Amino acid sequence: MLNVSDLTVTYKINDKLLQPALDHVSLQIPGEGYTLGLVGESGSGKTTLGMGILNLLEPPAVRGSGKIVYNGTNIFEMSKEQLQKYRWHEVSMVYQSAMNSLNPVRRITDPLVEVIRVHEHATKAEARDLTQKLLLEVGIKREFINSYPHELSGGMRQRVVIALALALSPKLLIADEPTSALDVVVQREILQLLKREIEERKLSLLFITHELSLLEDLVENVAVMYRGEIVEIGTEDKVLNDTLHPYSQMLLRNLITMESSYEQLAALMSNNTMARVGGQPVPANACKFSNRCPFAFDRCRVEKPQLRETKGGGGHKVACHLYN
Amino acid sequence: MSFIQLEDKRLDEEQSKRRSDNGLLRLENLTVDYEMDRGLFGGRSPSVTRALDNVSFDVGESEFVALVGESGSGKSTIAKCITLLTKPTRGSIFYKGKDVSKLRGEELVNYRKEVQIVYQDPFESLNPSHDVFRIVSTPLRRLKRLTAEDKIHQEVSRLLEEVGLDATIVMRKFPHQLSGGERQRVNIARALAPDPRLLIADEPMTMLDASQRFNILSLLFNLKTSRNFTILMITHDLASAKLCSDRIIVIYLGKIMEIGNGKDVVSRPMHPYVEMIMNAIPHSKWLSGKQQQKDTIPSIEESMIVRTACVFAPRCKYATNTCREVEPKLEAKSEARYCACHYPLSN
Repeated sequence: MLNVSDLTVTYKINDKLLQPALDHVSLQIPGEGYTLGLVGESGSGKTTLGMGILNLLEPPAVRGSGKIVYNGTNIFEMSKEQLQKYRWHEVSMVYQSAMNSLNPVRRITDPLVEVIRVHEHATKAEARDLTQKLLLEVGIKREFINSYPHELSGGMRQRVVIALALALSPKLLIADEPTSALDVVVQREILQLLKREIEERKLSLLFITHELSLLEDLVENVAVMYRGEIVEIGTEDKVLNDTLHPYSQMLLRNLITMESSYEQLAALMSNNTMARVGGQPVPANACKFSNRCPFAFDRCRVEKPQLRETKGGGGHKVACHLYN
Repeated sequence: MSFIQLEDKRLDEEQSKRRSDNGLLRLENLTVDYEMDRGLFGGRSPSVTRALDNVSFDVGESEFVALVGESGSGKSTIAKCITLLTKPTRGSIFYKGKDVSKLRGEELVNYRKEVQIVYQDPFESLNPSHDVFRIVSTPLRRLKRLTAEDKIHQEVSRLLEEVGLDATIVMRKFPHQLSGGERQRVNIARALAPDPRLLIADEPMTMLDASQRFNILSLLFNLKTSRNFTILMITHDLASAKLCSDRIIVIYLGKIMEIGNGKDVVSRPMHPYVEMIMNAIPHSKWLSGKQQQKDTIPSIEESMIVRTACVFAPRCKYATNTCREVEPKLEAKSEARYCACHYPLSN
């Protein structure tokens, strides 16, 4: 359905300084009902990839090589009309900050009615009906339907944004950290809503987050990104339980969970260098994680590892010399 | 002076002596009302939102206390009251036995020196046009009244090293050149500059990547040990609260729900509210399980439409008519364990 191949995106800060955001990323969403969680720290390029899929990259982002093919058409070569159909009809997005994605001076129904009228050529009454149905479906109570965004809590606003993304029944939903501004109880409800919607509508989902733990029970596949590269990808079970890449392991172990004890986390931190960000810059032909990796050996510093299938198989791929 | 007045005075003194004996900070019946919706010209009679309702607790010398609550619970209002940025409608705050609203002159400067705060958002709490040196040196000049430039320089380096930054590298950098974690460390260094006795950390980890949170948490924990001061950490994350606090105070819609030892509250919650938060923590079957189709737990604002005696009753699965009519008091259920619920969970 969607095929991202070899996509490279750079941010041009000034004439001399280029900041690579995506480095030859390839990713497939094979068909309907495929759910993928994309994990990485801030700056790893995960949001850039989401924006890229919608062809919304704007300067200072500069697209280098690569293409994104959706059902046989390269989206970077689409005409304006094609793009208009592609966005929201085929692929839609739920942004991180629900606070900023709604117009504060318009009722929450307005953008929904508008989008349905423009794209579906529906009458006002039909659009209103559909809007009401959608809002009820995502869990907005009847008495809140005519509210303004500021009258709603963050969780309710995020529900509205989800309704907006579902309005034209897209095939693929991109959710970019949809819960990072929410409380835990609300977060769970929003994710339950997302899970229910993708199951009922047989949607594909690309869920972007920095919290690995959120992906449990939500997606079937997980990809881990580090500095613009996918370093590990596989089924949720494989990546979360049979974690291979040292970076994914770090993401998983550094999490504060109910089970973790202070001593355990402190020990992990003190006896490896992984917890520290940055460090020495890495040469272009080295593994990008080699300066933080506790297992790095000579080969890691001179040869870039490729994303390869592991011996275990099952589509579990990792880019690390330890396993090749 | 009548006998009763004399007796009152004696009791007062005794009380303030007791306060200074066993605690650094004490909040007594703190109530804060925010006036909302006055209309454009203040003509409409204001509606009042009660952010804090009769909140009392104390914080001991060199204790690590975690104040846990959702947004809208009033936890940041508590921080604002302690730092004298918001005036309580009723109630008082005692620091070392003295009412902080009555501090003047040198005493007030001293209070500001001893009570410091680290804010939630490291991206917005640093002045973008000041470099790290200027940010950290300002409290040294203003509060510690240092004037010798070489001494200030030396102090700033020491503080930056203390929070795990390389002073020679970051000293002349501006906030936009630092990562979120580094910025939060600069914030902490700034707060440490006047040698505080009480450090309030208002959600110090929420804006950071999940993988970076523990670094900041352990920094706070180590500082507490090395400097032997008191930390009041405000958070919505029970897991980090449990990890290093001596005591957890759970607050909901301006009322304290439960107080107890960190590990006890998490392993055996007494209040249904705590149980609800615990269930929302990601685990292997947290989204499926009993699929509550469309009847979700009412959100905070939905639950506020009908005022009930127990503020949590509209969202509580155990609530009965008693909960809606009689307000549960915060009572000691066992030693150092308080809970405001008619039907505490026994486990």
